[in-house]
Amino acid sequence: MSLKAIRKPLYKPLEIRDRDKFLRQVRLRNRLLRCGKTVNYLLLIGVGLMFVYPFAWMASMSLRPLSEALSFSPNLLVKSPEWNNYVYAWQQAQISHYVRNSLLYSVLVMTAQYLAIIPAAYAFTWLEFKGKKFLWAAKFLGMMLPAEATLIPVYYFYSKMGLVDNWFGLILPSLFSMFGIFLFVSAFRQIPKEVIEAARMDRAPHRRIMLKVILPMVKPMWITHFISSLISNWNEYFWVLMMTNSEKIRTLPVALRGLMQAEEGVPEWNVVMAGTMIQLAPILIMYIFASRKIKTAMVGTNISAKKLGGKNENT
Amino acid sequence: MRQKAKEYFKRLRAFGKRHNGIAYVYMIPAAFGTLFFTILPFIFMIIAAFFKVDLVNIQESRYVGTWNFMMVFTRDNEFTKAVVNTIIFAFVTVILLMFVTILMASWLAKNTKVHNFAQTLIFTPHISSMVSVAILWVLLLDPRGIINQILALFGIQGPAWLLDSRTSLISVALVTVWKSIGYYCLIIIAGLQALPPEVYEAARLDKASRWCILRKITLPLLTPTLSFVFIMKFINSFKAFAAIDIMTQGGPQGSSMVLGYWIYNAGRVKFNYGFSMVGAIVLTVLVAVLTYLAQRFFNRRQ
Repeated sequence: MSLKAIRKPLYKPLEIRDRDKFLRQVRLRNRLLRCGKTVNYLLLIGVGLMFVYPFAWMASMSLRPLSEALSFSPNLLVKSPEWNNYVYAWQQAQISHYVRNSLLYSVLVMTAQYLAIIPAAYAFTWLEFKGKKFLWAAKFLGMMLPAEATLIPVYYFYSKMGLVDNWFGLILPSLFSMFGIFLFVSAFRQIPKEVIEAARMDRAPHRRIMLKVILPMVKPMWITHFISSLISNWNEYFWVLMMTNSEKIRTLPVALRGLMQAEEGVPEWNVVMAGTMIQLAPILIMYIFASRKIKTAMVGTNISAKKLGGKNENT
Repeated sequence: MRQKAKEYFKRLRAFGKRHNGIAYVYMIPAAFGTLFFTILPFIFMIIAAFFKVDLVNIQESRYVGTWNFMMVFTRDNEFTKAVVNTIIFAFVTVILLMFVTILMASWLAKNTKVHNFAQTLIFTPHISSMVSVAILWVLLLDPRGIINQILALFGIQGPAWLLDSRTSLISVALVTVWKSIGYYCLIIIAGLQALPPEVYEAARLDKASRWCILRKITLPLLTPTLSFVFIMKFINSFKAFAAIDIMTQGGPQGSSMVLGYWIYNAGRVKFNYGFSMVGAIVLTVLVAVLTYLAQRFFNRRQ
């Protein structure tokens, strides 16, 4: 048999055989892909809205008159916005007082905590002292000890020392926040030991090394810690609720609980929502303008501190 | 006199220089904090569990042996319920969260503008306070609230959620899941973007399907991160307090009572400090055992 007989016709791809059909197919595929992409994007936005819609609804609730608010209509638009709800919440429900307290609490903690955290982290990372291992182990014990468990003993100590309902007592535990110490230790460990040794050679005291050499090097981490601890302090609930008895120094989150449960029967939901909006507003506004920074701060800090055994503060 | 003081001061400074004295100065606040907020409360907790405690006159406290334990373990129905609920709550939260976030993260892990925007949106609940979120969901889960209105559109008669003893615990768990989906999604996405791209190119050359890639490549590579994150979440969800306090206060009939809230309730509301400390010991033991197991698990892996 000759070779010619078994030779098959040469394979020709579609784009040569039938160029028109090929182009039609390509166009169809592209259109389908684009369609799928659009649907995907719409779905993405839709799922995203599932997480934002409740907040928008909250804003709309806070502007409704009470009778309209109690119908729980999912509509976001309000015909005649009732700005008086905010005025009422601010004055009658004394939200202004609690906002002041919340601000004061956050500012006090944010300024005071670094005075204790940074030296402690510095000593843990680079200095040798007696009891270092013991303290480090005790910090881990502290991690396992839930705040709910130590509540009664700490409350007892506080009442004996007159620290209940007291600004100093309120900010005291944040000054030794294990979370912060773990975080700074994990950042300090990234810095090569030679840096410290070189500075020591030049007879720089530890204080100056810490302030002039180390702190500028961990600046990015410092910013992330600042953001995440600002948010978690502004939102702090458990601790403030436990260690205060009077309304004098209670902060906004605790006051919201009181607002919700104050009256018999149905609470005035529109006013409660107005108060809640006031509590959320600063953080949400910050988030709108610096979402990327806040996202990386919240995710990054928690992971690196957790790897060392710290705990998530914002639960 | 002054000479002497100067001399003494000089010697102190020399001593400090020799023995790294500055380290002790740096450690004073942290050590004080550990003593005051960890070690002393821990000791107090163990001792107080054996006493009938009177916090106003601590001298009036009587030693009662294991009576507190007996009462709490055998007589207090709410306590056993609380322990069971705590464990159920932790399991439901973590399993749901794991399932949803892994799927969502593999869907969202792309670097286009829309994907980033969606990530930003779903992260919003995480930065808002638990109190506001809980108050908001009390309204949404109201028997006449939006969730039930939506269910009614599909012809489903929604339950009373927080007011029904069968669904209250699950509802609170759902809200905490909703709040933390964004956070865990972003963690997983960060993990996904750190995976080596070569593996994915190889898989694509072999014409592996997307589901197959997710199951056979992504999940095994991500397991260390995932297990770490979710075991931490598991332990953390033993401490759910704010959500329970705002939304149900342990109610209806103790159906959503968890251990952390039970301790608060027994101690700070009913003033049974001894009972409360027994609960605290149980909670601590639970958390400690789980943390220990988790640590061992990770150390063996690495």
